[in-house]
Amino acid sequence: MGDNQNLKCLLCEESCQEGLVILGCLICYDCEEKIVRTRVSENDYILYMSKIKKIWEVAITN
Amino acid sequence: MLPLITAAMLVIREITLLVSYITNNSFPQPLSAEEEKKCLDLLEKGDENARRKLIEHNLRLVAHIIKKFDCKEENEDLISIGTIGLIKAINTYNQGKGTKLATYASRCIENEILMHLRSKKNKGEVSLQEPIGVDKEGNEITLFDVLGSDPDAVLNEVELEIAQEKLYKIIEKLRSREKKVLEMRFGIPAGERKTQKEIARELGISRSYVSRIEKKVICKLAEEFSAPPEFS
Repeated sequence: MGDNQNLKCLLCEESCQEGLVILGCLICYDCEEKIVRTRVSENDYILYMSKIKKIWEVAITN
Repeated sequence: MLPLITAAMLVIREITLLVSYITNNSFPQPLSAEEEKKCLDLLEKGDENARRKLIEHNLRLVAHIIKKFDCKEENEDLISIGTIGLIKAINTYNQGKGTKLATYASRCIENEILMHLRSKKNKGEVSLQEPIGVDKEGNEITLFDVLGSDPDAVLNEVELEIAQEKLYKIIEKLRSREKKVLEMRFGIPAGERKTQKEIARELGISRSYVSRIEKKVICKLAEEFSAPPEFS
């Protein structure tokens, strides 16, 4: 996880050392837990959807 | 004409985006069977790098599955939802069950998307700009174009008011306990409905007795409602 030292979580935007890295975008464990636990009908899900979209956008523009 | 051009441009943009997702070299190619097995074995031991690799190398699967859903206006959302489905799939996959990872992940991704579409349908979200047909001259008609004041709506409201007034008159004629049960059961007038069990507890009678009273009251209401109006 040494590469993630200066990374911010894609969702909560907090600096974090550990988490799930997808195509260079980091999702901290707390946020990952929230993503997998939130039901599609809950309001927070829409927020997670828009944040996760960035993974794809970043990958395409790089 | 302008909405048609805008709609066509949107569709082209979405298709271009989806194609670029799949063809773009930024997205890792699927793992070979040997590599996948190696990663899955490492994942079982809690290897985070293996988990990352399994997710990244299956992102193309998300884009391929989305193509099956004909939701051009929300492909970008579906890509995020599919990615969430993929994360869930990798987190819960069990090699011991004999299902191939691609099969399991596809199911999880599809399931996530279907749940989203169902949830959206249940919320009754409909776009006012959604085309619902064409007029005689071939112009596209949207929901927004046809929504207006419905003459029946006024009539329905008047009928409802008359029925409501009649109902209150009938309720006034009921016995005290019958009236109480009806009001509590159907939340009249406050709207807070109670279960038979709750009513039984509150009135100090058995639940089956509440049930009998409720049935009797409903029969009375039905009779009174179907009776011809009284003229004074």
